[in-house]
Amino acid sequence: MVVLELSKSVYSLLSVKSVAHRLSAEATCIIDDSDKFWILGLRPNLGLTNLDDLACRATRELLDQELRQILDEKTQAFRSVIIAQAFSGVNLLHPELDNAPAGTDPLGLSKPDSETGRIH
Amino acid sequence: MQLPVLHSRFRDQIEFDGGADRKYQPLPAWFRRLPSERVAVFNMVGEHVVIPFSDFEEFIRGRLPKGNTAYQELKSHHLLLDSTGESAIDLLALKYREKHASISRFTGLHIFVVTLRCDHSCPYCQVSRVSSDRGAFDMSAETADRALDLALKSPNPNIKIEFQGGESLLNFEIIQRVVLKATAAAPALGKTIDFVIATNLSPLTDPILEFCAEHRIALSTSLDGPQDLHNSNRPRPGGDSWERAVEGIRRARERLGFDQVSALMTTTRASLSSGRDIIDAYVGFGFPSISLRWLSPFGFANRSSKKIGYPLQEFFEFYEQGLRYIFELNRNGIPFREDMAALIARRMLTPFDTGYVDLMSPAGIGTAAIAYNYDGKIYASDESRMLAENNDFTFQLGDVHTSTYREVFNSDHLRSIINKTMVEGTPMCHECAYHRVCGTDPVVHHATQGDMIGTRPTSVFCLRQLFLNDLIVRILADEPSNAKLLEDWANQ
Repeated sequence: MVVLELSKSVYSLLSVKSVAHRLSAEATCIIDDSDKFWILGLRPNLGLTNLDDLACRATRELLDQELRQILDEKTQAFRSVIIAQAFSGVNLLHPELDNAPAGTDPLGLSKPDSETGRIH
Repeated sequence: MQLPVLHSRFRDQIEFDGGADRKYQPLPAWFRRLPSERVAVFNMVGEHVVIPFSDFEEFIRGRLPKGNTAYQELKSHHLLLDSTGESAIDLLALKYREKHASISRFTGLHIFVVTLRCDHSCPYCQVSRVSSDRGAFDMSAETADRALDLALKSPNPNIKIEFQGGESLLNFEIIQRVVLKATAAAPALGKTIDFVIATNLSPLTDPILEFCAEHRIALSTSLDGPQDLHNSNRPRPGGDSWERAVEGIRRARERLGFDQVSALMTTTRASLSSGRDIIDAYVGFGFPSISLRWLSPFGFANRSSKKIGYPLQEFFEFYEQGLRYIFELNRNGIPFREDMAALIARRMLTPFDTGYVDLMSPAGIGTAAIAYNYDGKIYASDESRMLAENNDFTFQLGDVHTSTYREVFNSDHLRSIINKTMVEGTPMCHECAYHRVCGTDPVVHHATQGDMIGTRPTSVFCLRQLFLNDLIVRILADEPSNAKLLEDWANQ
């Protein structure tokens, strides 16, 4: 049995649960709560005896889960905008383009960058 | 005069180096660790970069310097937005829409199971019956007509009707009926209809070939490799399945055209030690590709698994050895392709929707493919009707004799199944780097885990897909000449 004490100030409960789920094919996982720590207990399933390897995988997965959460928080709004734009019948990002009269060039695509100040 | 386009490409070095004050915004990304402390980072449309893990960590924490190589890699793959990359959101939205284009077209593949009768008794077959009782296992004219009515109501302008069995040619009268009626109805409906017959070619006759030639019907057959292996995998009276298949391929190509005949193999335990021989057989018969397919975990195949099954790890070894042998053939001047690798490469390297019904999100059941069984029962996929032959009717959507189009395709039952097949909402899939190039399979998970969503850590489907995706990513990152081949396959 591997028991990891994980500081609550570093790891979220969501990360600990996600790691337990990911490792569920290899180990029976128990999560408990003490004052300042999440306790993650991992009992290897039959045939798996390398506890060091299991502990190593669990801690690496914890770091990955934390990174995933940071990414998720930083990009969630963008994900929603991209999906909305992808399936919208109108241009959500540049509504002025839908309303511009035919033959006009509201983005100044025909003008050189030196005139528009555009940087690619 | 300086042309604007060139001007924008040749800018001062400072534009690329930037400064510490330049901020960036990470865009939606999913990652998977690779050997040698690297990580594959995928964007929202399945494109990826491989960078050092330490750079990736700095990127997420907002500390990656602009001069870093990884910065430019991430930016060029729409994983990072800064003040000089304003079009990334538009491009991602455009590509995202294109990658999902097939959803809006709706059901394109309509499978007609015209009979369960078969002259073969393959241990991996899920459904076939060796029987002379036509009434019990053949699709009737009335059932075929009703199934065709439903198929033609699909909004998809490009319909493919695939005739399946059993051995479908044993009920060729119904195939003819469906082809003639569909062909007659198509122009008024503004549809194009392609036909393909899945057959072991054993009952092939000249009149059948004439009809196929007249209506441009393609043939898809089974070829498990060299003679001994094929005949052992696919027993029939006389033990001459391979001889009949080979002769059928020759005659069909002669009459219908070389490209109108394709073949599929199934990997049994006996196949595992014969990878090169199987591939050589396909090359020898002039096929442009092979799909090294695993054994389906359904029905009869499941019951026969002690005899013909194998651990997943052994399939992985078989697959990788086969793929590497195909790379070797290509280097020796023999152009040949492995179809699953090509599919994954296409998803990772091109913006196009591959529309492969067995690997979609949401799953292609009902919305991309549907199966009309010989008895009129309608199933969400070919595999669903295989489950039904083992008395599991979970994926039955209706009956051609009593159900309307709306009752089948807009049913709460189908919608509830589809709701469970979005990778975005599936535990572990939602955070998997590969979810944009992968899919879900509720039928496999229902059959193997008793739950349509399934549990990924023990899912054979997930383990197989992870293996395949890992392999392709590793090859793309570390093996330049093989990566070039994958790129070629992706664009074929």
